[in-house]
Amino acid sequence: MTWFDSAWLGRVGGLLFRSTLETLGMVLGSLIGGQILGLALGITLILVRPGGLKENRTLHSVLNSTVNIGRSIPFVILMVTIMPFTRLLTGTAIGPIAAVVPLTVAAIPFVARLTETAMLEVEAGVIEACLSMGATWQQIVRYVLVPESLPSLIAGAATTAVNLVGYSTMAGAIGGGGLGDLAVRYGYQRWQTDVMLAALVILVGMVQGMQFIGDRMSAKFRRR
Amino acid sequence: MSGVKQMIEVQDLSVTYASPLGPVEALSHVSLTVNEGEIVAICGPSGAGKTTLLRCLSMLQLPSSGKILVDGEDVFAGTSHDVRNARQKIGMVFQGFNLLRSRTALGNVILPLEIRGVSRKGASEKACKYLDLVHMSHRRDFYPHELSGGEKQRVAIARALVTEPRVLILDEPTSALDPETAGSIVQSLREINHSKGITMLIVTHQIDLLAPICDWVTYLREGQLSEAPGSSREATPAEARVAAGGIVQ
Ligand SMILES: Nc1ncnc2c1ncn2[C@@H]1O[C@H](COP(=O)(O)OP(=O)(O)OP(=O)(O)O)[C@@H](O)[C@H]1O
Ligand SMILES: [Mg+2]
Repeated sequence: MTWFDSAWLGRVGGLLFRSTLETLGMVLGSLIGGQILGLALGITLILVRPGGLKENRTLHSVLNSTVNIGRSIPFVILMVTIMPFTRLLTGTAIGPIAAVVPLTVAAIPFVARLTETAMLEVEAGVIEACLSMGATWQQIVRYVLVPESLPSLIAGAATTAVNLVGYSTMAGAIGGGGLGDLAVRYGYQRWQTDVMLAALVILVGMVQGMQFIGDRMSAKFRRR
Repeated sequence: MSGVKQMIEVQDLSVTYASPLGPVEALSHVSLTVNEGEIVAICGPSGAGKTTLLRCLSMLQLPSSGKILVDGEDVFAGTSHDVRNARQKIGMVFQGFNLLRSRTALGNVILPLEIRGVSRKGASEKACKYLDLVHMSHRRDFYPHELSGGEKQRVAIARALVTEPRVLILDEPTSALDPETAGSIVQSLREINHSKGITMLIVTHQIDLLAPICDWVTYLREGQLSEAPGSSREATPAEARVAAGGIVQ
């Protein structure tokens, strides 16, 4: 049984290639959006938390609950619920580009929590040293919180990317496209297990690759 | 008294920490005046409240009562902008060094200049000069985890000196150094004090080492200065050594 030959590749290669690009596009797009907005939210959580540099208990409990709620909503429900918002932003509610919107929204609270955890690990003494130099809170964020937690932030980004690969397959199930969609359409609905297996192999490779890059980059900045 | 400027005035300062086991009174009605250009050592046993006093001076710890004036200004009375300005007059060397892991030795020394908005080139030149002063030029591209305890301490000293602050506060600045390096750091401190007129308040367990460069020494014990306010100025290093005898070194 040699289905992995050139004839086979000619038949489904283009399909696999396109789906791979769709998945990568969905994951990278939402990773970038989720990281930027999640980082901002995470830093805000750190600053306004009790004992933080810009302590604001009301804002902290509002943001904290929002993050918890955001993280507890199942992705499929989130995706369907925010469809009008997705359509507003992208002009459509289906396809890989539209899928970036719910994927980003799902990533934000996740990244925010990872950011908060990473920054809580920064030694209080180092923050105090910087304060004693007369730093503003913005300078503390820029010179201490972000660079000192960078290895953990990078490791968190890799975790987020891997999660987004998983979520993107769910987005695919309602017309998002990508490898997950391909696997379901060919494997589950048409019993073409070869295509399904190939899609799974690519997904596994993608996750391995992302984790590998994340680990390497994180280690590069970890100085202890 | 005319012509002598009071640089640090601590007035009736008390600090009480809340802890799960009840309140801990770390400082109790401490008063202390340091004139401009003086070098003053504070010694005293572990847990006496020395670090707490220094933390109050750099406004990292809010006192429960009392007042601190630095260069004539009440440091706790102002806005956050005033607090930052007051802090920029003070350089601080922490007991635990508190270097940033993410920056090299040079990067750590540049940081206070960066915070003040000094240009990259000017900051780098100045930082190199002070790394040289503490004999750390050869390690300037090393990260803190690649430095020994004493090397970290010297970087921390360079970092506090680089802004040429009006006041320098040092929490056990020679604790991790061998006698020879410690001696050379102490001499550097004296030279900087002479050339720039920087006022220095030094917490130390090694009073024999610091005594030669100090104008006077005071003794903190269980949150209280041992001498009555005013009389402490009369305690010479030699007397303080006696007062501290048996307990400190
Ligand atoms: N955050 C805190 N919470 C509760 N108690 C504290 C806190 N920080 C310090 N203390 C207590 O205050 C007292 C004075 O501490 P401090 O660090 O000022 O001592 P020190 O004189 O610097 O001692 P050492 O020579 O060991 O550095 C100690 O008894 C300590 O247990
Ligand atoms: Mg101490």
